[in-house]
Amino acid sequence: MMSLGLLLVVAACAGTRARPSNPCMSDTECRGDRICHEGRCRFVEEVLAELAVPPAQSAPLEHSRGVARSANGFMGDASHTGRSENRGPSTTPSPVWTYQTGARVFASPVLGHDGSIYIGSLDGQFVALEPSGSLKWRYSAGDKIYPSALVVGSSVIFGTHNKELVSLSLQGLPRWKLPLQDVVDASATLGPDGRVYVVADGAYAVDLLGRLHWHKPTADHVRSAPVIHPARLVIIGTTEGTLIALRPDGDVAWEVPLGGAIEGAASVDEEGLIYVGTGRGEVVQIDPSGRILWRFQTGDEVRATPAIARDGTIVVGSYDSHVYAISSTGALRWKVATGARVRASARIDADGRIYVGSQDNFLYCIDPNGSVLWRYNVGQDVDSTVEIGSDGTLYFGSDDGGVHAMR
Amino acid sequence: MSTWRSQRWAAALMICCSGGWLVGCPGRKQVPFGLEDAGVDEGQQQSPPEQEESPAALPTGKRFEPNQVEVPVGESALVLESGYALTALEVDLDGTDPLDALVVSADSQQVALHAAYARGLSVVARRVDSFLVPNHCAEPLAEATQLSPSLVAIRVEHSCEAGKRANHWIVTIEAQPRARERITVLPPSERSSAPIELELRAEDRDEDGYEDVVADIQVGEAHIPLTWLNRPGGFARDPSEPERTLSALADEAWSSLSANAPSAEKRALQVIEVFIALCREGGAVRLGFSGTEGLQCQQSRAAARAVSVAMAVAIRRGTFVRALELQRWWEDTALQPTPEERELVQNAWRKAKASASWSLLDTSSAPVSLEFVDDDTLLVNGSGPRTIDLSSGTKTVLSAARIQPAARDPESRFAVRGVRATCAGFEAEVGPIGGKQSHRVLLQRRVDGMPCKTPIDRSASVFEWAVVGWAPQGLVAASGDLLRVIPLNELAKPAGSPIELTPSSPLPAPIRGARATPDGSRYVIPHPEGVVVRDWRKGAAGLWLRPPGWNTVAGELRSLAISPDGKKVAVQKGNEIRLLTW
Repeated sequence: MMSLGLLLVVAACAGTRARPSNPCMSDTECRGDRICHEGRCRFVEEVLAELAVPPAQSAPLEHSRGVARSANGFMGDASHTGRSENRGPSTTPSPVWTYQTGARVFASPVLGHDGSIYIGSLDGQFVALEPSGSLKWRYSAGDKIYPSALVVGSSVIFGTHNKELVSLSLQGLPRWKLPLQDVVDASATLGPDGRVYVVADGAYAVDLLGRLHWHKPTADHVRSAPVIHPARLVIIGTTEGTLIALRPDGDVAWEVPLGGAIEGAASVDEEGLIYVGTGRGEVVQIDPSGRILWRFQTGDEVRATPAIARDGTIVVGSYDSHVYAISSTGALRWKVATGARVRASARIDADGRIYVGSQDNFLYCIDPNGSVLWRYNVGQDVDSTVEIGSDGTLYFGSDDGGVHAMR
Repeated sequence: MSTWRSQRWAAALMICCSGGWLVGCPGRKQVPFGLEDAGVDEGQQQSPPEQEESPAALPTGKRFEPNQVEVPVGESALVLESGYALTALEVDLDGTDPLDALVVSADSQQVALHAAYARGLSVVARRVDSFLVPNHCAEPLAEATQLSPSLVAIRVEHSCEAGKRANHWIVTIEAQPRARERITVLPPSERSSAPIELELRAEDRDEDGYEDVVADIQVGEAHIPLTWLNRPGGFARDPSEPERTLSALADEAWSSLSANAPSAEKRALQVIEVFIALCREGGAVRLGFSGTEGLQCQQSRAAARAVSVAMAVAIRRGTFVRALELQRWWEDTALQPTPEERELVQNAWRKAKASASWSLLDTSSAPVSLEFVDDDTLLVNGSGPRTIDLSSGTKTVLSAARIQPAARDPESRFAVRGVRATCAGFEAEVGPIGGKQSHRVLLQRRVDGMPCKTPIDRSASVFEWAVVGWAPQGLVAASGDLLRVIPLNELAKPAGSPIELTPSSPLPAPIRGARATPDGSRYVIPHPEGVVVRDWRKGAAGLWLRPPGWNTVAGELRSLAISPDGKKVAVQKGNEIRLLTW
């Protein structure tokens, strides 16, 4: 299996040495193991490497614990820590713009390398917005879009309720669509091997050309976005309550029943410890071998993904209307009451400030000690996880069908 | 089930049959011809049967615990070779002691109905009928009810992904029982979401002395009694239904339209709802009969009338896209409205609230294509291409070489040259800009699927399928209220299945084409009586443009375009090119 690093090196080389390539209309017109990509016969490795690199990127990108930074997706990175290197507002922000879609926006906005905002809506439309909020392009998926996008290199990838995984160019041109056997409710994640992992009726591993490498069916539907573990594991949770760790070849490394439906994705800290919420209202810490270390009980279901602060504090909302901060040993540090269920996952900015929406219609900003710095009434449930722009703008979706920008 | 009642009924059967009184035996001899009722006295068969007094309650079947494979029959038991038992109804099939049984069994693949005969200490079984279990359906439940001395109704219900799916067997009690009909009720679908209930009963509907079967079907609030008449040779469905009931409802809607439009619309929608659920012509039937989908209702007069009433109400209310959707019923389902019904709708369009005014820009006896270059400049592309400055009216002649087709790909490599009606359906002719080669992209498959007798290849009219524009995703095509995306690859070839868009969804964007604004928020739909401007934020409402004097300009609509800001529409009607503003 070719690592992303190798792919990137190939890409860098490809950028300096012009390779002759013949025009083509299908793979059959290309000789040897070359494929027809965008009208030219190309080597698979060359195309994969090119797709993994953002446009105008000539050098290999930095890696963070084996996870490529060329990708941006749900909760920021493939570990789902929710941390952002950007700083959000510490005082009540003002609305900058709202882009109105035709239905609820459940997904989290994801930023592209050029500041474009990518997001899907339950009206079946996927949009790319300029940082100014104007429409760049719109794609009609034909059915609801719940998951957040994965922006990887020059592609934006997302699943739909049309039972397919869609890859578009950053200009909105379709690259490929992969039919899956069930609807997609969760975001795709880029693995260190350059493959995209997505869940539906189990887990799928797909490369950036849309070729399916394996499919591991599960007994029940999966709604938790895959999280990538440093031990080269892909971890998913099923709606029947089992957390499953898969090896890069799709084999099961371990599975652990947690006793409650897993609706949100797990997250992984620097030590390889895994955190996940359950339908029984627990936040569970699990070691890299699948052993449960502790369970922290909240008052109702936990459907959000636990964010992990830089000091190891776990921040997660619960359907009991509270946002909890839990120490890495499983002790309560603080909790903040909101007026309704908390479905959204929290994001943590460079200063440790926490941004999270609630179904009480408010977006909250909480300092690392649990004091509410400000809250803003959006007017409808905020189930979408916040994205923080480089200029401190907060982007999020809401049940009013709007994609909101506040600064 | 009342076991006591069941036993009493069974005992009555045994007594009368064992006494040799076959004519009057309630388990036998109810149908004059056609049933295999071996051993019946010929002389007795020709005389009308005596009417037996029905018992107070007819027996129902016994249900079994999950995974039971043994079914008691007489003094022995039937052991199922595969699957497990769902229900069994004790009944005398062969006129000999002890009682036999109708048994329903299921496995993951199919549901089967068996006749089980008690033969001393053994049981002999024969399969009567079966049906396959569709994918994603599980947990079958069954109940059997004796409707009359000669008829049994069996209901089998599965829990499926989209909801409950029920199968109803009508079985005759005779030596060799037969499933006379199997009615399937499918779960709700996108196009037919009304709840459907079905109940079977026995009744002598035609008063010929023989029991017929009535299926009382409740679709939403409408009740339709479908009848199977007991005739020589078997059961024959009374073809007067559902049209008789639907006609009554449609006439009611028609007569109440002027006095009570909401009530008229409600009745009309009930008719359409039933037509969709029951009739093949509706295209989304949810009732099946012996494995076939729906009933043949052909050119239902009631449905045509109901559509006209619903359309008139939709136009009066200002939901123009909805009205266009209803109009498609007349076209797609071969319904034939009467001149009176057409007149009702036409009048509604003419009287619909429209605030547009229009002005003459130019004339052209030949058809032209119109396109806004910007909000104030209209391009008239025909034999003498020109632009018209809308504020000053100045015309500038252009060379054909300077004109780029309106519907072109984001990189301006390919363009749509036109839409053709062919034997395949409606196809867009697509080719490289500046090149001569072209290929066809199918927008809409030929509706009836019948092969062409003679080749067709003509330009589509403005009211047929058209390309609204070209977005990064591919072509956006429309016909009336129908709207779809035809995904294309970088070589402008189809790439994947079309994606249907609803009136509440915006168009993909940015989109290049004369009939849509570049942001995909608005597009224009031509209509013989005016123009509908669709704005996705307004769902089924739309904006109706019919300036005063529409009919005074001779000729049909031939071309139309919307300005980039969505505030102006240009049309070619007959020989006149006019600008509509509002």
